[in-house]
Amino acid sequence: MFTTLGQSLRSPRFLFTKWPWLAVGYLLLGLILSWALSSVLLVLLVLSLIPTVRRAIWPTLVRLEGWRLTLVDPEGSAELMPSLTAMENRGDTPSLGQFTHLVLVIILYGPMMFSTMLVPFVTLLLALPWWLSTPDNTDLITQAINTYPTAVIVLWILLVALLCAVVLLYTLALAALVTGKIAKMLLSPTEQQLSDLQANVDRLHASRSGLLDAASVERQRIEGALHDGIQNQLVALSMKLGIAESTAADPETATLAADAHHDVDAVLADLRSIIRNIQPQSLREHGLKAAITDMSANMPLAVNVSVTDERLPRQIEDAAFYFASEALNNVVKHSGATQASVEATVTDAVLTVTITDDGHGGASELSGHGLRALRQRAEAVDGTMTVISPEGGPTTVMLVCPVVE
Amino acid sequence: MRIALAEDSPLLRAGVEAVLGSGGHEVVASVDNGDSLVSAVAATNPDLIITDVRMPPTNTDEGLRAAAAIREKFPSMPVIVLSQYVSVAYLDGLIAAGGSHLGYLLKDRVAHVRHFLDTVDQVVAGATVIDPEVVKALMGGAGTKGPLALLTPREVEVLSLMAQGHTNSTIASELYVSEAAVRKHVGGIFSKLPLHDGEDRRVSAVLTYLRSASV
Repeated sequence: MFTTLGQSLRSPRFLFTKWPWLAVGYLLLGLILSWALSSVLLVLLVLSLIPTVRRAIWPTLVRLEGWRLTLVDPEGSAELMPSLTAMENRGDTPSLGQFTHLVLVIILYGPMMFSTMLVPFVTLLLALPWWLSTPDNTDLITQAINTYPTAVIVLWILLVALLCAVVLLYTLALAALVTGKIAKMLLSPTEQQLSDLQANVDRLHASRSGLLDAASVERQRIEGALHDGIQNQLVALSMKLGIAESTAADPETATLAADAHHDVDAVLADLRSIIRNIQPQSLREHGLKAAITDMSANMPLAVNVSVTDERLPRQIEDAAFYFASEALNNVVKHSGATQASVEATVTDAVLTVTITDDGHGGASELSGHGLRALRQRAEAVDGTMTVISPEGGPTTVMLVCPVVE
Repeated sequence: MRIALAEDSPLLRAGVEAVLGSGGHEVVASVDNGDSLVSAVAATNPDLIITDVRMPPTNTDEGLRAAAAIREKFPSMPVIVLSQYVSVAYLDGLIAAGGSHLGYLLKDRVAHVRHFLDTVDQVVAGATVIDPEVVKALMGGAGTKGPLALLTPREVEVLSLMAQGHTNSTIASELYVSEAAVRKHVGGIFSKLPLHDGEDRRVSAVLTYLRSASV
């Protein structure tokens, strides 16, 4: 209904939403943190002179604080978390603001919360005698006590308690709101930290791209070795056996040669399928359409192929081909389908590969089905994978990725 | 029969020569690249060319380009293209160079000597013979588009076997039907497809099949 604490506070229905309770939870967690660490703060600071300890403690605390912020400001927290998590993973030193926030929380939260809770009570205590001392009210109370003494006293106590609770909740929510705002401000990564992270992302991107290229070159080398070496020798061997088979004088030798020939054919078929899985020749030479069409021909079910003629960057073609090939293997292994289709289109520099089957559906990443490997293929080229697989089928697996060099 | 052969692996060149020799054929030129094949054909005027696809210097599709260049000069020169792997991607180029007197096979098929020698005769006689693996790849997309949509599934099946170089009698045994039934299907195919006059109807039908299936 409301997406932040601030919004809900302005509504008259505030007390009937989840927000007052989230605010209380937010403050309580802070209180626990403060209670746990305030007594050892000095020790922590001294220990932080050692770099390893410093890196182990502070970034984690910063991330914890970022996480606590979800309770009162989910959007703000979601904005902070990716960079805070990245900083924790890297063991970055917190910024001055982040450090200040932590120390403030640890030192001030306890006393501050305590005084905040006292505010409504003190206010009421101070207000009550004044209110009761006004002449009209004195009369009212005297009369009431005369008529129904016990009932009125009980009523009073209830009324005061209710009022206290309402005021307390509002006060706490307000306190949570204010501390939340301060937390968001102090925890936000600085320009320097953001540019460090960006530099890191760029470096990882470059090295990932290098790895993908290296893997592809390596696959091509292995394919070449199998293709020009072993495969040639086996074909030559099978030709010799073929001649022996057709020219042998006695039928026994002919049969033996025919058997051996049959075996070599089987080995060649295996080898061809291995080469196809390592790196299909047609992918490098002719692109996705040819490679997927050739690959589909070797699937034990009917596959309808409708793939773009366009040549794409090597990494993208590789990713799309192996995505389609593994998805079809999954179809064969898990779906019980009799028909499948592979579609690939490029629109506005975005490649979409869709594999659909008429199997029994119910595929999910949790139950295995090889979907996790597909997701990794997709993510390696900044792509996303989508699976739509209701019980009873049909199943659709889709890769969407940007076409960039 | 006088044959010109291009194959870059000495091992396989010797193998193919031996197979052809066992069938009583004479290899009049035996070379290891596309350019040499073109000049060898001009010098020896063979009855048939057998060529590998991938050869030096670029190791991509030298064989196909050499075949196309030769066919430009001698349009009905029979050509059998051998490849370590078969891909539908080569088909367009092959058909573009003229679809009759054409074979496209996996190298393994050469080792099935009798069958291969039959294929040699068929191609020289004008047939189009395509490797079963390619036909299988084409089957996935075939039957729904172009003129093939007019055929019954059975007729498409018969046509795909024709593309692999089968005769009516071998198609009959392949499909477990009588030869008369096959003749009926073949008649149906000829009447439904837009075939060109002056061309062997069987070749023309197979080419129509290959063209519409590989689009």
